Amino acid sequence: MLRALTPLYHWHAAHGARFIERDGWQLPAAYTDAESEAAAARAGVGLADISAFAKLSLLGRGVSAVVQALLGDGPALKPRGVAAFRAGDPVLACRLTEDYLLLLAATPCAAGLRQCLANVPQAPVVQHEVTSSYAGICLVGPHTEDVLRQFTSLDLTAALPAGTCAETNFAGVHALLVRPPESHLQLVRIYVGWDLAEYVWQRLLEGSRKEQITPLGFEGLSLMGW
Amino acid sequence: MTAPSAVPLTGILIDSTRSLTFTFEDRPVTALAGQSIAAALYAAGVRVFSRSFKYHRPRGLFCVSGDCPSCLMQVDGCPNVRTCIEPAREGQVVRRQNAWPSADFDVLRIFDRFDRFLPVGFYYKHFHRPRWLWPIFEHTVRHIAGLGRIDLDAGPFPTAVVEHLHTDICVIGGGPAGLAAAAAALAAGARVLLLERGPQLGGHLLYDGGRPGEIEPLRAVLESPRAQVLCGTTAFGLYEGNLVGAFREGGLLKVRARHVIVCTGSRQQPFLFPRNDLPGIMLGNGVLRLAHLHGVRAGRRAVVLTDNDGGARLAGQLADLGIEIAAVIDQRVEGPCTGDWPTFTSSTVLEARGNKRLRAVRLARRDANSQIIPTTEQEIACDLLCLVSEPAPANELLLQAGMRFRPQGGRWLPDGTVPGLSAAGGAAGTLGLDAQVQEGRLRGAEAAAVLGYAVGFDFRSALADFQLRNAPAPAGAVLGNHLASLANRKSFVCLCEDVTVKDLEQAIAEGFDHIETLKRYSTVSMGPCQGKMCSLAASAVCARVTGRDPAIVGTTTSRPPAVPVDLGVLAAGRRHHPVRRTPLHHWHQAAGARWLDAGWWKRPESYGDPESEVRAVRQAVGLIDVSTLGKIELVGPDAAELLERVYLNRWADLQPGRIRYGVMCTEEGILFDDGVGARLGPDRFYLTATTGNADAVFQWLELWRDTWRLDVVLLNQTAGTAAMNLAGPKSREVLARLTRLDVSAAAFPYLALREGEVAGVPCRLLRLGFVGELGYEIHCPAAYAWHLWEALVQAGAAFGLRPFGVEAQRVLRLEKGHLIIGVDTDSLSNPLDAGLEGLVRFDKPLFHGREPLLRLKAMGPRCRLVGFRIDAPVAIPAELEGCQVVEQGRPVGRLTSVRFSPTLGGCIGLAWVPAAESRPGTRFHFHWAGREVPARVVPTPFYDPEGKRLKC
Repeated sequence: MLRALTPLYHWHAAHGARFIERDGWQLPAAYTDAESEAAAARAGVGLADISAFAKLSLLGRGVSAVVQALLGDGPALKPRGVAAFRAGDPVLACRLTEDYLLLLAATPCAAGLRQCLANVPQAPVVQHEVTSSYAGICLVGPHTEDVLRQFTSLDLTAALPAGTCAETNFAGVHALLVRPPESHLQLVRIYVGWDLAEYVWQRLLEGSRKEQITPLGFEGLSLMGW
Repeated sequence: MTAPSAVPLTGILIDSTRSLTFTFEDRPVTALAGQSIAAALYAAGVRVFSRSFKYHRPRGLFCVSGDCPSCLMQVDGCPNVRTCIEPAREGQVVRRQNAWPSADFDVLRIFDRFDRFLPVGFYYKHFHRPRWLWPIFEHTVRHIAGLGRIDLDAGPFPTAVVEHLHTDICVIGGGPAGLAAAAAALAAGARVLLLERGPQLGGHLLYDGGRPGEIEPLRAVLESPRAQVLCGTTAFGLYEGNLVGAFREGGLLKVRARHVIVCTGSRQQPFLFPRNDLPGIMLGNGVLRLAHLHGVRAGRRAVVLTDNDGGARLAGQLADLGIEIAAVIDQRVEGPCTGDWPTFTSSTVLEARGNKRLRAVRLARRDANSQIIPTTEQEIACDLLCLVSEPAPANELLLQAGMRFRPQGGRWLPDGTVPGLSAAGGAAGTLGLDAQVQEGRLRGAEAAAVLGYAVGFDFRSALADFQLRNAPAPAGAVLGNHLASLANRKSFVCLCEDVTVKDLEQAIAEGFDHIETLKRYSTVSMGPCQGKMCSLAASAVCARVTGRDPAIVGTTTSRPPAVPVDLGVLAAGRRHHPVRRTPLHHWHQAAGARWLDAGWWKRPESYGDPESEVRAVRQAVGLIDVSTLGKIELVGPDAAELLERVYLNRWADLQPGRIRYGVMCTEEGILFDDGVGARLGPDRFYLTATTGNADAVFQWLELWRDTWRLDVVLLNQTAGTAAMNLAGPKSREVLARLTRLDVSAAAFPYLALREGEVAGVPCRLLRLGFVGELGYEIHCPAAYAWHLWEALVQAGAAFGLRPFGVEAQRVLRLEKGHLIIGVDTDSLSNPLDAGLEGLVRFDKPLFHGREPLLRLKAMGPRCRLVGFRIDAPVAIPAELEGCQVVEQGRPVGRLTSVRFSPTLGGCIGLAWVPAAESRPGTRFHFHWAGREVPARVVPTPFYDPEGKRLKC
């Protein structure tokens, strides 16, 4: 059977993760037990590997037309805006630049993304599935910003309010930070190149001892309302 | 060791109900919680805290503010810790440094007796001849001089972290002015970050008998959610763009503020008189800090030396602390007499007396011409001499940020403004508590208003009025004159570097009469205090000796860091080097790969035996992870046009499903990168780039796409796409087991591309021959790389498949004579000389490098990249890379790649040689290990010159 692995699979395995399979992907369900992982994240910061979730990029002059058709006059109409919508499952639309839209699903299945785009009028854009291009790391918990401040010089208050995204230097590498709109959680998604995932993950864990950062499996992430 | 006397004082920082014990040179010392190491040692009777840098003179507690070098000790293996501000902790191990056998009895003190033979700059003049003497001397000097030594066995030290903070206004300094500035900015609605280096807010009010109650309302304002107050945080640098560098326990802070207000206060300066460095001589504020912050009395009987009203005030404060006042020596003609102690006006200290601690001071009156009146000389017994000079601004951060100061009315005051920066309080030269608070309030309001916040009063008028009222009197004191009044070889200007007044005078006499050259020659202000204790005095000496105005002389340049910073703090966040891993990294690791760093990438160099890996590829089949290659997709109607313009060869005529090798140059015709490109469709191409240039090539394409306004979308697939090269005579059979694609030579020929599933994974297959064998480069989404690799390894097991690493690949490609850009070429290499002229299509109207290459073509080649063989035995061929090709002893070229070829049974390589010597069969020599080794030019490829094996 075809197995898809996130770039952090071997880290999860080496740290005792119990895996579940979703759409061919091997995902860490929990490292210890979901309840205690979620509790630790609620007190400090949880760190979850969301690399497997489907991602689709749209590039080209027609991006504005696609956004208008898909989301109307939402925040994603402008660069660095992020809008949430549903395509079966919840999706985040991140407008990185005028001609670059990134769609982030909340599951490994990309079918919903493609389906919603099928109904959008034709526009000069290039669709490209980038699930394996960007590794995704989710930071969740009350001390999320304290952790982020150790790795980026971005002004999180001014440059990354809820419902925005920003490309920035993070731990010395290029990253995309996404803060979903209207989240009841202190939550930021970090996207870096697939090849840099393990480096960034380890930096987050090693550099954040005082914030009590805890790896969080998908069961724990669900308990936190993902 | 126990405290010799009870300490009836209550220090603000200490908890007298809790005590702790640390070890000082193998003896236990008791301290109160919160007390500094130095204060505890002082209370325990220690007076010699360190030995000086050059002469090993005894030095005692002096500033009690972390500004001077006198209390530097080794704490828990960490050298040069400023013990006057370092809190004592249970179990600490504290040692004095730079002394032998001990700081109390340092035999190296002998240098103090021979100071006549160690004049300023002596190391520039002596011991240089005979030449063999210098290394011995240098070693000796380094051993004797200097500061502490790093204890390599100490640690582990905690890892410092870096934290980035942002704010509207950053106020540096939590004294009265800083608090007032922060409160005013907060009141206007701004976000404020207040950095205070001490453990508590309040600044000088905590110890100098001010009115601490006045700051309570200001302190309350800081409870605002828009305020962030960080005590125990020291700002050490103010950089371009209002970036404030600071540190606190555990880490480095990088603060970016829209406006910075520096309220770092002021500091008293030492006076210059013979033996002014004896233990027992302290700054007046140091004595107060020791008493009020740490609960330790600095002496029993004190003399106060002053040049302002602060001296009399200090005498009263010391008396209140129970210290007997022996005398107040006021250098001015008139001064206040505030107590029942003698006050000597128009007087100065002629000399401090004592050996390892102060025993007495000798003083005398001066006449109207500042000359000493010998008949007035007298000696006063004391164990404490307090120096109370006019305070100088603690303005290092302001100077770093470009603010200038000039002497006005006897004070150094800001001269001009810097956008986004202001100063208040002592740092701005403002004296008096009320004025400092008012200035802070006005500067806070001003900063908030500049940032667009509404300020509820006319701060501009108030500020103008304030400046008018606080302007110095035009006929103020002659700046620094008193500091430099006495010249003697034991009058120390720079306590850090043991520079005396005599040294400076001599340096000026030798021609170093500019303050900056004086600094470099004499090393004044180059020690740990970075000029805080000596810069003004050095300026005053320079002004007096050269007869120039102090404003013209100026002060030395202030550069970050303004205070000593642990190297670990500066390295915070830099401990890790980014590492890029391919999706197969852990497979290689488990297979015993030896790693090679290729930029940020980790690549398997080999799995133990590169030669057998080469043989496996030549005889059976091998598999290498080439995921590090750049992978770029171009989509759009102008895709072919963009490639036509950036590559040397043609792309427009490439048929879909076909692949072509391509080379690109810079505008100057220099080789930039190479790779293959495949046409996926009429408007779609897929390129590979070299590992080292992947990102640069993508940016290059983006740049020229935008410059030429071409309609093409570029997709960087380097990270998201894994790639592996299945190569060898058995590769077709292995692949056939895993795919339904027709992989026969007819259906899938050399330089063709196919898309389809391999082991169930959607792939792009490129039939290439970089290693000179039948081969397939298989590209797939990174997430499926592990699955595909394992499937290939499993299917290939029956055919003898072996994974191979970069080393084997280098040998294999060398056997084919393929160059690697960046290895076999450099920043001067062009395609014509490199033997790639066949790729350059001068019939294209436009491509990068066309014009310079046309000129080069007309000139003819000067050198050539050729293949060669070495017939002489060579132990490790790879070590020859970089060796010079020589002709009659002159370098005329170089070897770029050299390897032993297991296939050919000899040593082969590529080399740049003069064009005239590039014909096959020509012999040349290269220089190696002190001899000239012969080699001969041979045609390339070395292996399978017809290319039958890769095209089969």
